Amino acid sequence: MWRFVLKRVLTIIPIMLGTTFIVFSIMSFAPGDAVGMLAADASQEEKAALRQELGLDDPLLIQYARYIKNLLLGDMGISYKSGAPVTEELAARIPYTALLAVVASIITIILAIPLGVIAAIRQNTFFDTSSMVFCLLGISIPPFWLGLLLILSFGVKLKMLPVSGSGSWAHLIMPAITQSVAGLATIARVTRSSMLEVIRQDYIRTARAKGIAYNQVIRRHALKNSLLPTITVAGLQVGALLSGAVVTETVFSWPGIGRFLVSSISWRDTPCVLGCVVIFVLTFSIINLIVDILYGFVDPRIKAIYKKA
Amino acid sequence: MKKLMGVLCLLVAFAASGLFVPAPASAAGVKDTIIFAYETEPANLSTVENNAIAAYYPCFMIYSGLFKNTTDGIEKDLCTDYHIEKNAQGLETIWVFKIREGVKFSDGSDLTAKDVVATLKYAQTRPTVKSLTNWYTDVEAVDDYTVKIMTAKVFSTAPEALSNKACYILPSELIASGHDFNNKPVGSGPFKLSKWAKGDSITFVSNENYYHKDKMPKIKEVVWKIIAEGTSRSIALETGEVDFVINVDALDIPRLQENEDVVVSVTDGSMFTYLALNNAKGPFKDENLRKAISCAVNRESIIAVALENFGAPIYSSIPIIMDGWTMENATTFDLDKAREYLKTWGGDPSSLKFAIIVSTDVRRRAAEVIQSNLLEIGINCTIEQVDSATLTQVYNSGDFMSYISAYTSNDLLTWLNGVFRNTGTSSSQFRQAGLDMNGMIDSIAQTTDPTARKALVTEVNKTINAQQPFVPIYQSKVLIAYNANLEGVEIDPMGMFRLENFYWRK
Repeated sequence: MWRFVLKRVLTIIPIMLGTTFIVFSIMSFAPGDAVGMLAADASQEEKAALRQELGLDDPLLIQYARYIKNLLLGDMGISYKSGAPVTEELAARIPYTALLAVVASIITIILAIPLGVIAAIRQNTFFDTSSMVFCLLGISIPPFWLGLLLILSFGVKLKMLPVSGSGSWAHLIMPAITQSVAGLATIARVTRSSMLEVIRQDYIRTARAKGIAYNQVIRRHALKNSLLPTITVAGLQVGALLSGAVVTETVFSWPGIGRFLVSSISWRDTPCVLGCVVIFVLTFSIINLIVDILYGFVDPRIKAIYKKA
Repeated sequence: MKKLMGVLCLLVAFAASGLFVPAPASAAGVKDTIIFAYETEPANLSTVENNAIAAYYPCFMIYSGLFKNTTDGIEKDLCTDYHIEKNAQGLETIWVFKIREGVKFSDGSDLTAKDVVATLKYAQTRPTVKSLTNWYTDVEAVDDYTVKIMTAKVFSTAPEALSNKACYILPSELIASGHDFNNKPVGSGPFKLSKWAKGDSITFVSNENYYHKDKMPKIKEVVWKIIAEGTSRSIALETGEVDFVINVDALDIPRLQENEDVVVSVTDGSMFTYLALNNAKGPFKDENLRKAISCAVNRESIIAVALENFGAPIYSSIPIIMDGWTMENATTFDLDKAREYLKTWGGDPSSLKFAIIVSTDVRRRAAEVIQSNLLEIGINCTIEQVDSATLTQVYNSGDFMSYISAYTSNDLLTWLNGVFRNTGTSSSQFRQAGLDMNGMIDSIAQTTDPTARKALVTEVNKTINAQQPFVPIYQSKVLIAYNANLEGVEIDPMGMFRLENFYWRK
C-alpha cells in the first residue's frame, strides 16, 4: 500500500513540470506582457529597462529553468504586479479558498449522499421526483445568478446575512451554499443511479430474503457498494472547489485564489499564475490520491490490487 | 465516520477563527470609521511602482507632495512658496520651492529638503513613472527647507506635475535603505496603513503626525474594501455594509436615487474616450476619411446605449474641462457631411475592411453603435474584444486599424503627453496626423504666461481638430454613491477626493 502511495506521490513531479511548462508557454506567447500593464505610457527604453529588471528579456527556456530551480528551493518568485513574494500573496488567499471549499464540501457530501440514497430507495415517489427536479435545477442554475438571488433574498430583503466580504461566519453562509449547490446536485444524481443499480443485485435480494431489516440492508450492504462512483465524482468536486471559485468569489467579494488567478492572468503576472497552478496541481493530485485510497477501503478487491502492485 | 466529521468540523472552526477578525468598535454612539467599496485592489501602495488609478486613492491618503489636486485646482501642500529663476542663458528653467517646516512623516521623522531631493531623484529611476518625472534634469537642496528643480527647457506646469503621486515625498533614509514602501508605506499624508488583508480590504488609520492640524482627519479609520462586482457594491451600500461606493454601475443609479439613505453624486468627468484610427498606415492616413467617420458617429446614441445616458458627447480633441478648449474646426454628427467627406476621400467605402478593438463591455457596446452608424455611410467594420494587456500590446505594436481607448488627467500637459506625445512605442505615434505634436506640446509647456498659454492651447486644439487624428466619443460622468450622513464630500473630474475633509453628521 505504501509503495502505491509513494509511486503516486512521485508521479506529481512530471505532472507539475508538464503543467507549469504548458502554462508558462501560454503566458509567454499570449499577447501583451506585465511591462505594458505596469508602464503603458513609458518609452521604448524605459520599457526595456523594466523588462530587464523583471528578467523578461532572457530566453524563455532560461526563464522557465530559473523558475523551476527557484521553485525547488521554495521560492515562487515575485509578483510583477505588486512586487510582493508570490508565496505571500498565495498565503493570504489560500486559507479563504480552503475554508470555503471545506465548508461547501461538507454541505455537499452531508446532503447529497442521503438525498441520492433516499431518492433511490423511494424511486418514483414524490420525494424522488422533487429531489431530482431540485438536482436538475441545481446543475442548471448559474452560480452567478444563484449568488445574486441569495444576496437579494437574505441580504437585501430579509437583512439576515452580510452581502459581501469575509469578516465572520455569517459571511461564509451564502458563498458556501452557492458553491455547494451544483456539486450537491451532481453527487445526489450519481448516488441515486448507483444505488438503484446496487439494490437490484442478487445479494441484496438474498439479504432481504434472509429477513434482515430493509434499512440495515441499505446501510450495511448497498450503501458501501454504491459509493465508488460517488467517491470519484466527489473527489473531482472537492478538487474543483479547492482550486478556487472565480464566480462565487467575485459575487460575494470572497478574497480567495480564484479571483487572484483571473486578475493575475489579465496582468500577465506569470509568477502568480504559475504559483496558482502549482497549488492546483498539488491539490488535485492529493485529492486523487485520497480518492484512490478510499476506493481500497470501500472495495476490498481494489485494496488487494494495490497490495499486489 | 462520526468522529472524523467531528474532528473536521473542529478543524474548520479553528481555521476560521483565525480568518474572522471582528471589526473594531468605535466609541459608543460616535461613528469614526468609513468603509469604501472599490472594484480593484491597488497593485502597489508605493508611489512609484505603478501608475494605475486604483493606486491613487490610497496614495492620496498615505503620502503628500509639494502640491495637491483639489476640486478647485492645484493647491500648495508641502510647499509654502515658490518662484522661477532664470538660468545662465536667461531662460526660466529653475524652480525654487520653499518647504513647509515642522512636517513629520508617519514614522515620526522630520521632512526636509533632503527628502524632496531624494524622492524626486528616486522617482526618475523607476521606469513605471519615468514619463511623469522626465521633465526635470536635476534637483538640489539649497538649505533644509528650500529646493531647486532644474528643467532642460522652460516648463510652465511644474506645480501640476509635482501634484502627481509619483512626486509625493518619501523619507530619504528609507529610500537609501531600499525600504519596502509597498507593504510598509511611510508618508506625510493624513492617514497611515494599518492592515492589508490581500484580496479583501486595506485598513488605514489617521496619522497623528499629520502636519495640517486644522485638517486632521475627523474619520479615524478608513477601510478600503475590494468588491469587484458592480451590483454587489451597490447592494453593500444599500444594506449599510459599506458607506461609499466609487464607480457605481450606471444600471444601479435609478434604484439608489430612490433610497433616501443614500446620496448619488453624478459629476462631469475628465475620462476622455475616443475611437483611435491608425494615421500612420492604410486608408486612415487620409484626413477626409477620418472626418467622414467622425461625422457618421452618433455620440448621443452611444451614450444612451453604452453609458445609460451618464456621459457627455465630445467632438473637440481635448477634454472640455481644459483651459483653452475650443470647438473650432471640430466635426459633429452629420451624415450628409460624412458622405461629402467620403466623396472627397474618393475611395469605395464598401472596400474598407477593419476591426474596432475594445477591451471592456462598455466599449464593446459603444463599438456596436459605431458599427451600425458606419453602415449608414456604407462602411462595414467588425468588433474584436480582447483583454487590456492584449490591447496595450496591439496599439504599441501599431498592428491595428482602430480601437477604443480612454485617458484621464486634470492636468492638460499630462493629458497631451499621454494621448499625443510620440514616445516611439506608445500608441500616440499612430495619432500624429502629420502634425508636430511633440513640438506643440513643448511650446505649451514652455509658455509661462497664463493668458498666452490659454491662447496657445486654443490654437493647438484648433489645429488638431482640423486634422481629426481620432474620433472623440464621450466623457463619462463620475458616478459615486455614499451614505447620506456623510458630509464634506467633494469629487473632482477624475473621481478623486480628499478624505481628510469627510466627516459624519452627528
